[in-house]
Order: sequence, then structure tokens, then C-alpha cells
Amino acid sequence: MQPVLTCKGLSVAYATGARPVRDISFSVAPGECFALVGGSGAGKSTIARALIGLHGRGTRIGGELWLGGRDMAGAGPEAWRGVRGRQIGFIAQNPWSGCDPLRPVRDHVAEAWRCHALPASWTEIAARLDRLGVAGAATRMAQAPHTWSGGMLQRASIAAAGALAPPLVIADEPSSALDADRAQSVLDVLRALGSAVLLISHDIGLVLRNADRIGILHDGRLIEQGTPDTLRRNPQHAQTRRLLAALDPMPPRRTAPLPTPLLRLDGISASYDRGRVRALEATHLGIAAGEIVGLQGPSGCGKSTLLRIAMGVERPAGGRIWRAAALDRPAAVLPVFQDPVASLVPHWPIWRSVAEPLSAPHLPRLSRGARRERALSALATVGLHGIDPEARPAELSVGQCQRAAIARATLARPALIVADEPTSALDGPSSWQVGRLLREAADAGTAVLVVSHDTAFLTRLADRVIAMAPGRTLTPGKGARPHRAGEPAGGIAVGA
Amino acid sequence: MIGTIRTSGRGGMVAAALARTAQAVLTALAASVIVWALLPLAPGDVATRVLLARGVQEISAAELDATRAELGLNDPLPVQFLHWIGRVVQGDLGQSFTSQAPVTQEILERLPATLILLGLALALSILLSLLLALIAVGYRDGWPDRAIRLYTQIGAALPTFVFALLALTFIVVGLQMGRVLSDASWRAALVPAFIIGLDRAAGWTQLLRAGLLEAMSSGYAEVARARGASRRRILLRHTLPNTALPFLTAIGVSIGALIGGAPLIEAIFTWPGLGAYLLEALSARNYPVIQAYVLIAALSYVTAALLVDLIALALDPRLREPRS
Repeated sequence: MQPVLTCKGLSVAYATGARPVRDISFSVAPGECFALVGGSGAGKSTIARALIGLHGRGTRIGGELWLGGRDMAGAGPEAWRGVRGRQIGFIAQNPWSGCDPLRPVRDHVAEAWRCHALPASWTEIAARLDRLGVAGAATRMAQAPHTWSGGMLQRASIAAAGALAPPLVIADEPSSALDADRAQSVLDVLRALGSAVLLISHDIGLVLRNADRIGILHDGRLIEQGTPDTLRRNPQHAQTRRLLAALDPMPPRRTAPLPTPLLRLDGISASYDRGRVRALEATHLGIAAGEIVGLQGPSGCGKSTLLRIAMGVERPAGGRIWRAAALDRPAAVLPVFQDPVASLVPHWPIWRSVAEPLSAPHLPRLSRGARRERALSALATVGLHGIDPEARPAELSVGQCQRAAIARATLARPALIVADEPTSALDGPSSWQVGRLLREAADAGTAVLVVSHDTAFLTRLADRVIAMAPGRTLTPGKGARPHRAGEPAGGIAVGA
Repeated sequence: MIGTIRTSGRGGMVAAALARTAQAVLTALAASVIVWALLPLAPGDVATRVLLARGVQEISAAELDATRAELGLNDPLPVQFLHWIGRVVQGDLGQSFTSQAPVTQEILERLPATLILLGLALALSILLSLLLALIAVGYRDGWPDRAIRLYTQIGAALPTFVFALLALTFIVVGLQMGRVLSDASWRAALVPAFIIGLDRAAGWTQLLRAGLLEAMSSGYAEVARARGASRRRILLRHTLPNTALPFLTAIGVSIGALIGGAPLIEAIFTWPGLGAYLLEALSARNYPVIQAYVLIAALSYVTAALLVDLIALALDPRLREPRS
């Protein structure tokens, strides 16, 4: 059978002269799911946009791009308009921003027909949404997009992308705005559409589970192609192995956590909005030196409030806090933030941000040269010996910034590191590295409290995972309980 | 069932509309207190000024007492306010210090002229800015866009009266269109309204152009493009309604400025409207007239803001959610 999409030596060149995508060749067979996977900056989104003609003005496409028996590489706007929707469907990453916020969801779906001057029928749209698993579609589709959940709205986008039964659907990170379980069901719905799917993702695990064939992108080139099986068993390229390493379990702990309790929160309650909303109720949390405790829960469950109380920057409304003396010295508790670039001083060279904890008042004063030396060795321990120590945060990748932020946090040998969603801005390999660094900090005796919505990451990293429900912890931590060897890492399912 | 879907029906719309209306009424009330306070706060004794205005040269104590009683000045201030607002609601804005005629009547004589000029100017400026912004975005970076950008920068940089004087010299004197002396007819209003509109539209065009361009690169515009929608369709169906909200807010806010600036505009075009009437009253310290004018300006502003709020509510479903 003739492929629905064939790229031969495809390249994308910006007006500035930069060439983010070079010499890409692959084809997608009818009905198959071909995935392009790579870290941030690999050129995934540039390819997705070029394949549907959404590359900006001044951007040039080289090579061949065969769609439905026609080379679209040099096609003009009108030719592209005829192809879109009919030959290729498109699903954007964020379902909410992909919908006109002023119009009901049904208009969003109907647009697929109307913009080709075809009539759209409400009953047909309702039936299609119903088939894709939207319950009560006939009434719900008259509501505004912001009132829908992400998983449901992404189903509506799938209905719109498949409206004219295009042979190929391009899905650019279609599930990255969704929780893990919803992500899989959205991908199942996408496959059920029957069109071939070009899946663009940074998530190697998701791609291995869902794609028939996978292309590995690195630095604008397609470095390897194969089925999930061959790639997993016999990766040819170092970059592929690096991506696959993100699936490995974290390195096991080397030393048992010290049986010294560090911090214990008993029956903590907290509220915000002048006491009207209860953020925490009778919450228990304990952590010992050298232990990694994960906090997990839906947004709004009070994770961040609990972190701030644990750090000592917010007072709880009720409950008792016990802190070891080790927590009372300056710089004993250091944070690692969600947005690593913003957590570093933008106009400082990176070494200076890393060296900042050395200027804490309880430490002996060091010369500038000595602090720089210490910062450089700290950067080397997080694998950043290759970077220019004079670089500003904006010149580094997000993953490099987060590693630098961890180097900063560990440099002062804090008693407790508090990390709030430290990997949510990172791709797979970078997340894995951050996890490894936190594990090393714990092995060196630091207690680590990590909040993340990524359940898989937490269960692989933490000694204990505490699941939080709105207002309280579902599985109360048993105070500063020493870790017992042989106990599986992961949630301890104790009823509420 | 996966996910939850909140309901936001018509009830939300009605409740939100009622809340905005109540807010507007409160604002109008607060404004009226301030407007009323102009008179008691003005320097000098009110009764004396009223008598002087009536041409009484030698004021006796008895006359003063009688006038005070007549004006209700012996009552406590809250009672005076209630009396005043009671009369205002019935359309009685007091007597002019200078002419002795009821202020309401004098205003009603001049109001149509101002309404014609400002209404026409407002309509023209909205039309102009819509048209120019759409052309600029449609021909982005082409010569129409560059010409429009030049115009918006000049228009935004020049104060209204400089712009109006320049335009007046060019259009009326240079091109022999329109008249320098006006008789408050629709025909006569056309040229001055166009000049005011051109000045007003500069800032709005800039705002709308920037908003449209931002919306054109939004996620929903990209998705619509990926479905095969034409640029014109995306512009008119998606980005224009989404940009309309800040645009409408800007228009609502500047209606106050338009009325406040009317005296200057009418002076330049020798327009026999309310603005000219206010200028006379200001130089004569004719407080009842000033009061009436400020009250009209404040109420127009509150009404315009309420209208904008209600249109925004009808346009944007996100505004109908009860606030958490």
C-alpha cells in the first residue's frame, strides 16, 4: 500500500539561517502509528508544524514532503488549505488553548466542516463525541470549553481532527497536559479513529506502549528508526540509550537512612482565603535524615502548603511541629523549584548562583576565587563540567538549569531539601538525572521532601510516597519512622 | 465518567448581569454625592452668591435668611442631599446663577448639538479603528500596515486639540470642505466628527491591531488554521471576537474622556453645544450648571461602563462563572 506520508531529506530553515531540522526521511503507512520522540530542542514541534504547512513566513522547507500523491514541500497557502483537515488532521498539545474560549465545544468540532464550506450537523457531532466516550455529549457540547475536563476536551479535538476522515492525524504531545491514566485513554481513542497517526512526544515510555514504529530525533536529525521491540532490545545510538535510561529504576540507596528523626508534623491544619478554604486538616508528616519522602495528590490538595510549613516559612493554623536542632542553623533547609530558569539569578554567571549558599552568615568567609572553585566542583558532581561557568541561566537548557539548582542546594550540605515539582519542566532523560541527584543527596545524609504529580517518577525515587487528598493526607505518615531494609518503595496504603 | 463538567447556564448570566448593574447604580450614587458636594464645598456663602447672581446689590440679613430658607440651606447636610437628589430624579437641576432660567431647560436646548457631534465622532472612530486594524492585520508588514502604523503613532502622540487644529486647517481651510462656523446640524457635524474620530481611532487601532496579532498566533487560531480555515475566517470568526473585550473596555473608558474633552473640542469647532455652555459657566462660577454637567458626564461614563460589562458578559462565558 502507498504510504500516507513520505518525507525524503526533509529540512527546515528559518529566515535567520538556523536549520532546526536537517535531512529527515521517513514514511507512515496507512493506519499505522509512527512516533517521533526526542528531548527538548530535538526539533519535534518544528517537524510537526512543517508537515501541516504551519511553519512561519520566511521559513523554508527543503527536500520532499509527499502527502496524498503530491509533493507539498514548496506548496503555497491555498494548496495547504485544501490539504489540511482533508488529508491531515491535527491535535494540539493543550486542549483548552486549542479551543476558541468564547464558543461552545460543538462549534470547535463543527469548524472542521464549516471551514471547508461543508454543512455540520449537531446530531452527527453529538453521535461522534458519544462514540469517543463523551457521556451526555448532546447537552454538554453546548457548554464552553473551560468547563470541560482536559481528557474530554481532547476527545472533542480528536473528533474535530477526524471529522473529514483524513488518512493521517498529527498529534503534537496530545496527552502531556493530562494525568497519566487519562493520557492513555486519550491515546486509545486516537488510535480508534482509524487514521494513521504521527505521534510527537518527549515521553519514551508512552511512545513504546503506543507506537507501531518509532523514530528517534536528536538535534534536528532522525538518528534511528525501528519498532518498539528492536529499539528497546538493540538501541544503536547513544542518544536512544539515554532516552531509554529514563525508564530504568533510580539507583538504589547506598546507605540506610539514619534513624535520626529530623522533622515531625502532627495533626497540622492550615487554611487560606481567610479561613474559608481548608488546605490541610489533621495532617501527619515525618521525615528522617537521609530519607526521600514523596508527596503526591491532585492540584489544590495542599501539597505546596504542607511544603511551606515543613520549610518553616508558613505557620500552620493548628497542630504540633517538632524540629531537630539540625534544622535551626542557617541554610539548613533549601528549596528546589518547579521553574529552574526562574530560580536562578538571570544576570549572574551560573557559578555565582551555585556558590550563593557559601555566603550564609554561619559559614567562614571565602574569597571569590575559592567560592568559584567550590561551585565548579559542585557543577561537576551534577555532570555539568562541560558548561561555561560564566554562562547566564538563559543560555543553558532547562534541564541544565535544574541540575545547577540542585548543585546549589547540595553545596551547603543542608539537612533538608524541599523540591516542588522539580521535573515538571523537564524531558525524560533530564528528569531521570534530577532523580539520581536527589538520591545522591539523600545518600549523603540529607532528607529530601519531593512533591510531584508524576506518580511513576515518585514511586521510582522515593522511599515512601504519601498520597494526599483535598484537605488531609489519605495515608498518614507514621512520624519519623526509620526505613526498614527490604521494604518496597512506594505508597503505603493505609485507609483514611 | 471521566472528568467533571461544571454547569454554567443562563442563571449565571442573569446573576452576573444583576451584580454588575447593582455595582453601576452604587457607583452612580457615590458620584452624585461628590457632584452634589461641589456646591456646599464651594468657597463663600451659597445664599449670598445666589442673591448676587440675581442682581441684588445690597443684601440685607432678612433677605439672606429668606433665601437660606428658600434653598433649604438651614437643613442638615444629609437632608439637603436627599432634597437635591429628589429634585434631580425629577429632572430639576436647579437654577442658573447667571440667567435665572432652569438649568435643565438650558441643557436640553444644547444637548442635541453635543449628542450629534460626540455620537457621530464615536461611531466614526469605532468604525475607523475596526477597519484600519483589520486592514493592518490582513496586510501585515505590507505598505497598508506600515501606513496605518505611521498614522496611529502620529495620532497617539499629538494632543487632541493640536490634531484637531491641524486637521481643521487642512480639511476646512485647505480643501474648502465643511464650514468653520457651525449650526449644529448633522451635515455640519460630519467634518468635525471625522476629525475627532480620526484622533480617537489612533489609539484604538493600535490596541486592536496588537490584540488581533496576538490572537492570530494563539493556540485556537493555529488549530483553526490546521483544520483548513482561511486567514479571513480566523480573523473575523475567532480573533476579532476574542480581541473585542479589551477594545470595548478602552472605548467605555474613553467615553468619559470624550465628554470631559467636549468643551475644548466645541471651542475649536465653534460648536454650539454643552461644552461651550460649560466654559461660560466655569468662568462665571455658575455652580448649578457645572454641577449638572459633571453629573451628566459621570452618569454617561457609568452607563457606558455598564454597557461594556454587559456586552462582555454576553460574549465571554468565562465571565459568567460565579467567583470562587
